[in-house]
Amino acid sequence: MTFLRVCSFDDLWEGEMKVFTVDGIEVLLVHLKGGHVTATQVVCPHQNVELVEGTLEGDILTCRMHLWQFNARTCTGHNPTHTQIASYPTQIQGDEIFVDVNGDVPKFATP
Amino acid sequence: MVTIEGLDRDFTCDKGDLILRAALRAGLGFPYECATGSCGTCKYELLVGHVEDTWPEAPGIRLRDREHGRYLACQSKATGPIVIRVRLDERLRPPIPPRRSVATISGRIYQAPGYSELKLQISDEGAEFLPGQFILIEFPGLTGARAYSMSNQPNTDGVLQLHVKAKQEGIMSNLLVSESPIGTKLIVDGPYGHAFARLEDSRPVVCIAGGSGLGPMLSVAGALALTPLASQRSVDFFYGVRTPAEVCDLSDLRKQAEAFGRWGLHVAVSDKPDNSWNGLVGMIDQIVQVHLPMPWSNSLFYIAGPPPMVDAVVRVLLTCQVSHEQLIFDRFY
Ligand SMILES: Cc1cc2nc3c(=O)[nH]c(=O)nc-3n(C[C@H](O)[C@H](O)[C@H](O)COP(=O)(O)OP(=O)(O)OC[C@H]3O[C@@H](n4cnc5c(N)ncnc54)[C@H](O)[C@@H]3O)c2cc1C
Ligand code: FES
Repeated sequence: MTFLRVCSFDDLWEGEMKVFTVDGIEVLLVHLKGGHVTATQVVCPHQNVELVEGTLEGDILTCRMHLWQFNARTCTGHNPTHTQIASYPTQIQGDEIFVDVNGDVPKFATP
Repeated sequence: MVTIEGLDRDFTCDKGDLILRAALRAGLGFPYECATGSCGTCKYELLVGHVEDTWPEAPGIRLRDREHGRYLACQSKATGPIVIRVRLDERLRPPIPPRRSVATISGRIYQAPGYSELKLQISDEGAEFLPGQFILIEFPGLTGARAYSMSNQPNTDGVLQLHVKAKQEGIMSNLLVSESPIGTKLIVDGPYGHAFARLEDSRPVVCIAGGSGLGPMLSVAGALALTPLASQRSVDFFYGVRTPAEVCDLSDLRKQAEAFGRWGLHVAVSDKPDNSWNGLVGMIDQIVQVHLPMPWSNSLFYIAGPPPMVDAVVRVLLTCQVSHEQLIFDRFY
């Protein structure tokens, strides 16, 4: 496991999500209530649309295109439930956020 | 020639065809939604070669996409051999590959202030599409295409019927609704769209139309009425517009609906009307919530209209435990 520094909490406030490129791989970082940071895939498992363009309400991330919903804390589907999103391992060191971008792969909804 | 990374099949773009359209003509499941530069679903990454961007300011693409060499397939053309990266989806393969043809405006019926029902006659073939799908229209001399959904049924006479709303300051919608004389020639390309009627699905159906979304919902309901299952089917049809004057003619729909085992028509206006209106009043998402008979868990929902209306309806349905698998919708960007 290689954890690479992505950003600090100054760059990603609570309730914010942003896309970063780490070691050539794009990841979406989501800062949830209570200081929890999720690192996940950039594109919705459904179609070719970026999750960062959607909305975050509590732990629920809603894609703007078809309003698919995901629990950003557990990285599982909220509606529809049969999906999941990638969950890259994260480490917090002080104010800095580290991610292992090889620790998972993007998920796609199967037909 | 376009090569998709990891795929052993190339496809060609005839005569400067847009990449999305060429891919669909080749039968590939290339992701898309609006086909007109607004939604961003058709993005791909250019790995090798050059493309011509036909609409650099398209709302569907952002600066960050540009920085990563991403383009909209519905707004770019290959200027030589290219290699691109995109995730194809078998489920998105076009049931009918789109074709380009010349059509003539052959009829127009004013429906309401700013609304016309338009008839187009295709010159060289039948009107092949699935109810709920749309075509792209191009006017000679006008940049870019616009999407319009068919309101009639597929037919061998080559007649496409559209329900068009004149957008304020909108170029093509005003040409279609009133300005272009009968006999005007234009280019139609289609069919496109994934929000088509699932005629073999026997679940109760709910159609929800906002404004110009009426067209495809008429086509879907009309098609359902023609199936052998119609007499056993339950259909609720919701239609929302701003004012009573905007309510279009629903007499054909009412006649077709006699085929259904159970039928409910719910027409609502959102602006507070005067006393002559004795129908429903409210935003269509709220009307659905109040007037759609329970249970909803076993219904199939078709939704069409402007993006804020579609989003509001989908959000209401999701909070009422409707699952995504029950939703079929198109946003009219
Ligand atoms: C799937 C779908 C189905 C639709 N069905 C219907 C329908 O049944 N009835 C209806 O009334 N409306 C429908 N619409 C909306 C319709 O496509 C038009 O957006 C609307 O009529 C306004 O067009 P306009 O030319 O009047 O407006 P304008 O403001 O002149 O044009 C807006 C649209 O034109 C395109 N455009 C503008 N400039 C360029 C450019 N330089 N290059 C390329 N493209 C450009 C873009 O798509 C833009 O959204 C649908 C839209 C979609 C996405
Ligand atoms: S399909 Fe190309 S932007 Fe919508």
